[in-house]
Amino acid sequence: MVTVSNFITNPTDRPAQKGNLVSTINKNHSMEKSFSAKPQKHEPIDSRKYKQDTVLKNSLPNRMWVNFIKTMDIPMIHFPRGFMGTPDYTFYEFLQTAKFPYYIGGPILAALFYAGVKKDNFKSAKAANKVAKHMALGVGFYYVGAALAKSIVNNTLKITRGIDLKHPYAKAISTSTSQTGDFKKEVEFRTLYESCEFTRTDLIFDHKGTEKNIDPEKIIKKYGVKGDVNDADQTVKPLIKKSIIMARAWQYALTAFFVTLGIGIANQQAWDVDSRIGFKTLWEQKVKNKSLPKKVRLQNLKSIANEYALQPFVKSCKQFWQGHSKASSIIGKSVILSTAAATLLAISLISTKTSARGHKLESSGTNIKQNEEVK
Amino acid sequence: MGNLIEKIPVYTPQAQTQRKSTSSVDTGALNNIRENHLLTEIQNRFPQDKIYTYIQAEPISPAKTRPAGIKARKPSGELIKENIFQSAASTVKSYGDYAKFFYNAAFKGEGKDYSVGKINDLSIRAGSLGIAAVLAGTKFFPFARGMEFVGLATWFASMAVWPKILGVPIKALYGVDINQKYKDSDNRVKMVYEDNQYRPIDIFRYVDVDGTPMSEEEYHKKYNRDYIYLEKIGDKLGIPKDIKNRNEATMNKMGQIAVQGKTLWMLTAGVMTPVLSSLAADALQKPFKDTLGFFRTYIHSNNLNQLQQHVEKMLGNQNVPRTTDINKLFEEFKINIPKDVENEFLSLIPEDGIFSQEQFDRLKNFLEKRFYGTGIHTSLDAAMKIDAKMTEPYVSLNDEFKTQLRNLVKESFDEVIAKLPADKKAKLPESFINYQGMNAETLNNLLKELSLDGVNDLNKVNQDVLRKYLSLGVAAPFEKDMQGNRLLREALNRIKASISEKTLALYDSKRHYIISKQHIEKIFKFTEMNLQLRDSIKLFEKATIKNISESATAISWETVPQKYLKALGFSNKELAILATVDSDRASKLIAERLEKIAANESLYQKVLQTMSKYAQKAVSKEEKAVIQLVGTIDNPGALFKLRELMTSCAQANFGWGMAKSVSDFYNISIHNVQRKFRNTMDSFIRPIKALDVFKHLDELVERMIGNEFMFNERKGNPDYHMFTDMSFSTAKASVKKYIKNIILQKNDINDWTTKMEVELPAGKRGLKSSFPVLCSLAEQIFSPLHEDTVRIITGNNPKKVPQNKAFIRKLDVNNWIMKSRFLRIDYKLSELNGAENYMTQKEALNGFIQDLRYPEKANAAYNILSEILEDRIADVGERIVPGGNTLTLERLKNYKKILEDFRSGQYKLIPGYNIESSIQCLKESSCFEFKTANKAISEMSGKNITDFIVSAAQNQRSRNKWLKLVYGLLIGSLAVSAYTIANMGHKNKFNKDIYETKQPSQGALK
Repeated sequence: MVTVSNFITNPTDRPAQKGNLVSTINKNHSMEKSFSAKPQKHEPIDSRKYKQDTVLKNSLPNRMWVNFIKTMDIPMIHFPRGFMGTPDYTFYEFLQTAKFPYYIGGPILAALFYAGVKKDNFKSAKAANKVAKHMALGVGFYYVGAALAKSIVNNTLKITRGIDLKHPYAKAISTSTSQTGDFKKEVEFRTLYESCEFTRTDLIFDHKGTEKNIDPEKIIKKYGVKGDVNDADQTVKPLIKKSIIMARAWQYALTAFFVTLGIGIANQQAWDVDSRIGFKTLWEQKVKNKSLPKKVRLQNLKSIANEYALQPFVKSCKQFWQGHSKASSIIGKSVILSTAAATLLAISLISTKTSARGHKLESSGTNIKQNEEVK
Repeated sequence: MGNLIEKIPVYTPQAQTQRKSTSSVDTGALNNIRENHLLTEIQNRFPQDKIYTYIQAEPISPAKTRPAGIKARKPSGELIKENIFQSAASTVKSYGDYAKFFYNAAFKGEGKDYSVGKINDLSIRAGSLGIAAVLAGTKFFPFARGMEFVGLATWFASMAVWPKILGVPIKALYGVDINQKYKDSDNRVKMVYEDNQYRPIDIFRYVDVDGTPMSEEEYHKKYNRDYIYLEKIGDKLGIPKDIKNRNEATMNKMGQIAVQGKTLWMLTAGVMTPVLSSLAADALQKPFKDTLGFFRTYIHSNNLNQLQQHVEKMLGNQNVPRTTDINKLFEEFKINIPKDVENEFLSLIPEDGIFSQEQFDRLKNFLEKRFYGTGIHTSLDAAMKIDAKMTEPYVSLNDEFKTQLRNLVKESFDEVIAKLPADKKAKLPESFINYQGMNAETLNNLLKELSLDGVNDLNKVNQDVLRKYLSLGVAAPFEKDMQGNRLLREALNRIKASISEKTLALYDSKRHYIISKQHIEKIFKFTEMNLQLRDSIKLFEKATIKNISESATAISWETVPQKYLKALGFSNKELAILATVDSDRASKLIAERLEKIAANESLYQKVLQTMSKYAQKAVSKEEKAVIQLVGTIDNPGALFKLRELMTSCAQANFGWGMAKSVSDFYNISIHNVQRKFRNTMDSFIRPIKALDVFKHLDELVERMIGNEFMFNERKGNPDYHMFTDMSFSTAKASVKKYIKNIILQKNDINDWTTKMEVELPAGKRGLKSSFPVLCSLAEQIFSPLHEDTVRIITGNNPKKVPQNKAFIRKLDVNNWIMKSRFLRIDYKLSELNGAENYMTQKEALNGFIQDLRYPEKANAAYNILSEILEDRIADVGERIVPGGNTLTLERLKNYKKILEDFRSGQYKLIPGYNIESSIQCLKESSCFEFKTANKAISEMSGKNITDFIVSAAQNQRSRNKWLKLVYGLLIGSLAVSAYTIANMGHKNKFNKDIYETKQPSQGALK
């Protein structure tokens, strides 16, 4: 029974303090039992950095950081989750794991090839060295070529339309999907324009993101919509879609051209010059040598870069163009010319065909100022 | 701007409806009542607050049209079931679609995520093809070029095949095909398990238990409920039967396994794609190389045969005369001079055939550059000298030239006179001061006197004559005044000098070469023809015998040493040592190995048979090519016949000089072919001979230094000085060691002697000063194979016995030839030792010739002599002994006939056969001697055994390294895959596998 005296003399039983009414009611309960409070059901603390989809700042360091996190997540999160077969495994995660073979396949093939090259006598060791150099350069130039192709298209779009295909945003993952704390996935770093069908224009135009890192007015203006136009975003959205499709198509196509060009340049005789010792001595004596003044060292670095990278590069381009036989000269010339032609075509198509100029647009009312080419 | 513009919606301004503030009150009755009710309640509750009313928003751009007649499509996707060929075909077909996707996307900006993604697939293939083409362009040989494409193909094949391989055990264990594709409602082909968040469960609705998709009607005829396939997989996966939504649970489990499978795929693809690709390309190498080699040899050998037929036609026979007309030959051989070369040549020749000095130099440069390294260009000069005007500068004696001559005379006078001071001028005769120049008549008279009046072109001698007499002739009229007039004499002398100088300058400006255009064209054409014919033969050489990448011989060189290595049975550890240590240590290892083999009779037989099998194969391949090119005395080959034709053509058109050059030009080729063959042969048979020597070493050594008794007998003999302080056993051991060394290592006699001195340090003189020892050493090392060895190689297979016997004969002859090459040192030794002349090659061969008389030795002698005689085919057309007769094919045939007669014993049957004169004829033929001058022995013989095996070991070691890496990666990846696959679909933190028991009324998922 609840009595007043009970209530007063037994301060531990105060429900306000204990949050448990039961213990105070039953007098016969032992003290221990009455102390054992029922565990309170806490709402889980939402420790996620991004609680909603957020547009991120589109700066190089930021993108690099995002890429670093993404890369680290491949072995730390996506592979373990994949091996467990988690029910909330997404296509995004699969694509992330698919980067793994892309990055190790080429080098492993090169390593396998090199392992089979005879290196035991002086002549073959020298030849093997040459092969290794060409292969390393080839692998390097392959990735450089691919990056260059993507960047040419991306920069064209950035300059002409103000949109950056690489613009990252953080997709917040609902806490309800992660069933356990293991390999918890809180965020997927994606880019705003990765899909042409489900482009995150909502994040661009509706300012949903907490960090406002994008200027929709600028994009609209860059698309050639001028003045105070009714529903400008509605005009621009299909054009953005068109831009994404064109840009992606050309990125893929130019990649084919540029990697071919890269491999072609890497496999010219200009790189055969046995330069390791010369380079090492120069590097150690002229650049690493701290007794020299900084200015001189910088100058030396420049001349070394010129001698060991720029000059062979220029020479190898020439050799690629000329070729050592009729067939190889045709191959070299056609690769160089077609790469140049494809690049120009891509730039011109992207910069001319995605504009809103020439579209009929309507002013929002009061200030009737029509787009340039309203007919 | 494409279709898109038309599709962009056009927004028309909306009439801004003036909304009344009370509008909410006016609208729908029921709503009003409800809203009013709410409003009053709010007003009642919060009387103090101001009340705002909410006005419902109106869309700014309301859709004008309501989509009519469109309803949700019934999903029409279906599973795709195709075999590997259908799958390949649909892959190829899909690239066509992808190209369309690219066009639409890149040029019109139309597409979807799916189609844009597919462009990437296309671009990766195109890029890889480009890379392969570029890499192939950097290669010089067809196999290397082809392998770039083979590599590309295997790369994509293994990329495609690896998930299929992974899919097999997964499907077998769990019934889930991770590669399962389906066609969605838009006919787009997708993977069923592509996106774990999107599970197209519907496509399993009408699927038979074996996974075959069926039409709805068919399905219902067979089964009374849907998803029979999922039920079966659920059983396989061990999903409890009596649970709620069992098919959904099955689908979830399938999803789990698919995610696991695909993650495994991505983890291993980066390793397995290159590994499988590498293995496949490696396996394809040999068949590809063989096929390519076969076709190359076939094509070029066919071409060579055709060429030979043309040559034979032109060579003529008893009835048809030999064709030596260059134009006719040009037509017959279908020679085409490259247009640019021909044009350049023609541009260098003036129409009238008159060359200035500069023009002539340019022509000469052009010809020298074009025909450099052929040897032919050296005789161009000689060929041009057929008419002296071609190489000697001429000056035309025309009217213009005559006027210029007269002018320069006048000029010389004027100049000298003008320089004279006035007082001196007064002392000179009038006729001199007022000299009017030489008139035409005087010049003509002078020319007549010099008998040059009928000459059109002045050659060098005439030029000099004219120059001399012109100045003299000019001075002649003043001869009488000169007497006592020192001034006049001096002036005239100066004038004479000036005239002479000026004439020379005039000559220089007027000089020209006269070459008949026809003749120089003939030379050019002839040389071009020879170059092109030689090049076409070179194509055959490149495919077969030439020491060049991917030729048949190069392929033999890649494989045969490897087979030897395997036969010799070195362990991998030994190979690693062989590949890296210096040749001394390597030869020690090889010696140990050979000793081991020699000690074990059955192993010895096996190794010997294997090695001779491969050697025969390689040697016979080259021999075929040699026969086709050079041929035999009885049946000369293409190269020989071509030389004959071209030499006679050169002789007929340009004379002896050109004929000699052309003959040399082809002879060099013939010599090279022969040398190459000898080289390969020697390299491949040497290990066999070495094994034979190792096996019978004791015997050989005793033959060399005698048995113990003889050894002790010889001790005082200065020829055996190196053994002076040695016991028999020590001497025997030392010589044995020495023989092993030289047989495995060095090629050159100088190395032999040095080595001998190291082994037998008896004073400084060593081997060099002892003929008998040196020669008996050579005799033993290059002796014919031991009879036991012969028996083993001959074998018992009656089909192969003749072939094997022929091989042994070749081997013995080759050894003999090598021995005689080594014995070149004899000449030097004979000088050293004064009169003591042990044996020269000639003497040795004469010994064989003598042997022909004795039936028991005739066969062996014939083998060696006929082989040596065959080699002489390269010297036809040359004087093999200075001052001797030119060697002809007829003479060679004659010698061969004599040899045949002796071998067969025919000579005995012919009455009155003059044996002595026949033998003498052979001896005096000078054919049985070697031209060894100016060539290192190592160049004339094959590779030494240590180098041969070390190089093979190095190749094997790189291959072992590759195998280790490739199989390491393969096994590692397979182990990871096997472990993962075995543990798929298990219950874990993410997949708790909690099922709810089915209520009695619960049915299957519908």
